[in-house]
Amino acid sequence: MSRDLKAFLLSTGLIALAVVLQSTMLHWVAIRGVIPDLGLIILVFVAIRRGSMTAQLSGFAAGVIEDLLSLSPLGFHALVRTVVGFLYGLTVGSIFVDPILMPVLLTIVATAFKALISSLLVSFLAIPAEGFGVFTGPLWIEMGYNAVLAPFIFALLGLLKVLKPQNKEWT
Amino acid sequence: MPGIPSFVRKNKTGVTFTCLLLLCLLMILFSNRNVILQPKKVGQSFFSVFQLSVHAVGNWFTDTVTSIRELKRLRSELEDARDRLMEYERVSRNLTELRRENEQLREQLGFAQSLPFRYIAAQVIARDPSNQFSTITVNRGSIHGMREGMPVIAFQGGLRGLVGRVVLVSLASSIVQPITDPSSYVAARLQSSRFDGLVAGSPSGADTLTMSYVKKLAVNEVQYGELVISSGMGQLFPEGIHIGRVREMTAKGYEASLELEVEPIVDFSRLEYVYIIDTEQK
Repeated sequence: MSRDLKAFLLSTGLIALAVVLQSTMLHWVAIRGVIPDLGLIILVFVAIRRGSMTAQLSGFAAGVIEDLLSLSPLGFHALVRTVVGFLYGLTVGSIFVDPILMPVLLTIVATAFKALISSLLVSFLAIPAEGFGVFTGPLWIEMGYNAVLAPFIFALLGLLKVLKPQNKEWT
Repeated sequence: MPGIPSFVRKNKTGVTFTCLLLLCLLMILFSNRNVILQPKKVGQSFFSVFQLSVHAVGNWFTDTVTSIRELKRLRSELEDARDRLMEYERVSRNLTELRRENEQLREQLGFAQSLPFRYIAAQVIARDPSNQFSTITVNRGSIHGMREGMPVIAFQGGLRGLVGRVVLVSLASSIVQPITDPSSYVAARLQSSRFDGLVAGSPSGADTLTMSYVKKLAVNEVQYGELVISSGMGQLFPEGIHIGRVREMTAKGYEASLELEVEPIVDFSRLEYVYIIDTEQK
């Protein structure tokens, strides 16, 4: 099995596991009903380490799983995670990721970006959802929660050899 | 046309991205028209196994930690009892705890027995993995007799509160759409003043409800804190189930009806057990 395929399978599995945790255990640690998006943090890490191809495929696969567990229309989370994975993957090799500041900044931007795409989808496709009101309380809470957790998750994922920086052929 | 294959080879990432994007959009569009409902059911059945497993593992860990803590506590109490006869106090404490638990269970049983419908008791095993949607997953599915559209209630604070309705049923689990969801509508009535209206979830995602289409002449009769119940109209929810209490009242000059902000009876953040009502079998 090639390293790229391993990276794809591992990152998809990790994001899917994070999604299942989000639906079961993370509600115990919700702040005002808002849970962190561990799947997004993992996706950002995978994207900046492995590039667009792995990230968009993992984002898509994990997003479909999230859609199956949610009341969202099939494809909603898949689209959001595919776009985030693709765009973040474009920055591969061009960002120096320190242990704290960059994970925090990258995660904050990713959360804002996810909120923006979600809101556009909810508005344009008339999806019956609470939406993700840009600049509303829940968004700020999720942003902060994700930012706090990002350095720890980045540090943990950094230990995985399969997710070390990509080889150029895959992209 | 040698151009297309070489273009695809050169722009593998971009082409894959475009394909995935189109696939997502197609899925959303078809999903909204319920064409992909069956695959979604199959998928939900499959992945809810993981939710059930994680829930079970979580419970196992909690039980184990609780058992270890309990063991330590018992050991220290036994040591104390050798000197100060604490054993009797421990028995007494346990007895009080059992009495309290017994009372709670009797209360739940009493409420459940008071239901005029056949019901299915279920436990909440998961919630929506994202913050944009607000669903509840329960551990009862089609094999337990669950059907789509069944109303879901819970007992909290001595009242029978409306939770929502079943929207997706898989083999061993089901997804419940809570009444706080913006696309949820319940035909409702003010319990004392008897004015009818329509209760909907809040579009902002807050755990509040909005009761609209209440006649404006109710403005002098509606009391703050008045109970809102289901009216039974629309036949989706049975009559007389508590929905919430009136918290705010807005009477806009140019509108013919009132808008009431309603605080739900059910605290959705601490919902553990629910009852799914089978309105077809009394």
